[in-house]
Amino acid sequence: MSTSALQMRAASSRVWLGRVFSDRYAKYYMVVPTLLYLLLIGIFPLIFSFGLSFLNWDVAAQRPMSFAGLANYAELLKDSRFLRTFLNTILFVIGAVTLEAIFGFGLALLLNRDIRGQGIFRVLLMLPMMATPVAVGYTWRMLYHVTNGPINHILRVFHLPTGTWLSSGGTALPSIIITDVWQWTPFVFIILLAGLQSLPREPFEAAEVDGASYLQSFYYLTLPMIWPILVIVILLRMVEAVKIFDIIFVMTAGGPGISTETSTMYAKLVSLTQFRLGYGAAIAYVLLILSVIVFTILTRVLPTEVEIE
Amino acid sequence: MLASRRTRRRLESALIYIALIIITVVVVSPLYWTFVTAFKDPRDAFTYPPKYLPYIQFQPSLYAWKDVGLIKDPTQRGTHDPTSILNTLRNSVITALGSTIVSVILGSLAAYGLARFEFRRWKNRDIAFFILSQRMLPPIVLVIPYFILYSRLGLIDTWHGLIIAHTVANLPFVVWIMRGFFRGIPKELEESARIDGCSHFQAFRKIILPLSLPGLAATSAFTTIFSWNELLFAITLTFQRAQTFPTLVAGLTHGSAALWWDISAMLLLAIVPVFIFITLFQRYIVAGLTLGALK
Repeated sequence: MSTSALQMRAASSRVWLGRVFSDRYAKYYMVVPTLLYLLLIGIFPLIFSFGLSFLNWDVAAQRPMSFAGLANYAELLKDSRFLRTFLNTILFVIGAVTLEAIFGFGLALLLNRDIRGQGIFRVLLMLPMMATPVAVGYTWRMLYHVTNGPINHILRVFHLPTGTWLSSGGTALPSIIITDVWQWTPFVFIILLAGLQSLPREPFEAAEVDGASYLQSFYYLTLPMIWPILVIVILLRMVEAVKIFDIIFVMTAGGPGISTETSTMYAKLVSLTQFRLGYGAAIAYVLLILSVIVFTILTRVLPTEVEIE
Repeated sequence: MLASRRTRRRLESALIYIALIIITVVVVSPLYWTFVTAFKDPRDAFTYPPKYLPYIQFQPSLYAWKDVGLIKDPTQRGTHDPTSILNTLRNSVITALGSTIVSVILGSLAAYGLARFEFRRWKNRDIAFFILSQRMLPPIVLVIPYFILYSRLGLIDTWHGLIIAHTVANLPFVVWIMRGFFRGIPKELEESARIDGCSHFQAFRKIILPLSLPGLAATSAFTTIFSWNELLFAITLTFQRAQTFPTLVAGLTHGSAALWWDISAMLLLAIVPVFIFITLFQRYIVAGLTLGALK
């Protein structure tokens, strides 16, 4: 082949490449890789797992895989252990998120003023949120220790009744909730503080001129203006709280008994320890439905108020 | 009248300070406990009443650090093998960095595409919500199929297997935050670059990327911390060669009596890098958090 023919081929392929990588398609090259990634590694396993939930696939029993129809879901409704873990999950979500919202909002209001050293307070109050959950779990296990833990020691010093915390069924879940509240209140606090600081100042100044009390301007000005952000933060925290696994795994591993076992932990046990893959997938799917409900509410709230920049 | 108002104001701010200091002490004290426990020897670590103050109630010691084998001391034989600690730390670093690199490159391009161009047929908002919805999934729904598929594909207990899994969680986060960040950069900058003959990709690389370094730093910090802290994927998809540090620590007390001083030392190894990260990126992280939630 002559050199000119080679040059021509090179030139034509350059034209071809130029057309494919033309600027007109640039936006697709930017977005499509992420979408493909999520379809392949996010959606495909999700569908796979949906299919799984209709199968009898019991690896340990060495029976051949068979179609189960809705049998797994029917079993769920009768499985008292599953119902207990689902209840635990919901109690955990409600308890933890409610307290986080209250404390976080309170802290944000407290810090929303000209305070010297605000930055230092903010960093220190942010620490729990970033701490490795495994470390958080162990730390609180030490603190809650019945005989030698600092919490019982301090209670005893002040002549208050001590608790058995993680080691009895009645107090274990509330104790875990306290730990989660300690870790995640900072998240609520930081976002609400930023929200409060972005509110316009004029209405508050006008209210002060008109002689409104702090409570009045809080109720009639702050609360309605911060409301959308508060709702979003609460929903974001709920979505995250449904996923709870790590701190409980370290603190109680679901015990005593199953009093702190969440549905995530039960699904993991059923599918990856007992290898009843179909039934485990069904448990996971019920949890997914719970998340979807919360997420749907979130998407309803998000666009109206928050796309404003 | 004026004076009394001033004293009232002073009293008020003093009260607020006191409240803030008490709250901060309560918030930080659990971490303080782990910190001091890591520097106690067994005699001081698990006694009643507990010892809180170094030098006053107990003499700080490096016992735990020698016991886990991170400080060599010929007179004290460690109970732990330091190689498993160092290996899992290395695995955690590799997974965190790997997942951060992949998700920041893919995610910031997607975020830019969504922030600047109009996808008529798909609608930008629908794409953005599809991406975000991936973050909302309870991970257990993915863990079960991953476990099955990974076993078939030989991805169990590998770095890249865990990186792939963590990226699914990190990617939506990067897109969400960087989209807000790119929207904040005026469009005119790229338009003038386009007139000078830049392609979209060139404009992105030469104009937008340098301007968004703070945003990229914050998102990278977040994705690194997420991956570093993550337990559920790590504990189901890795167990030995690619085992991560939190997975190692989480398995320490099952069965045996807890050596709290050793565990505390290891907890510090997990927490301290994260804290260094947030102190370095503090400003950006607050910006990133709020951007992610408010936009």
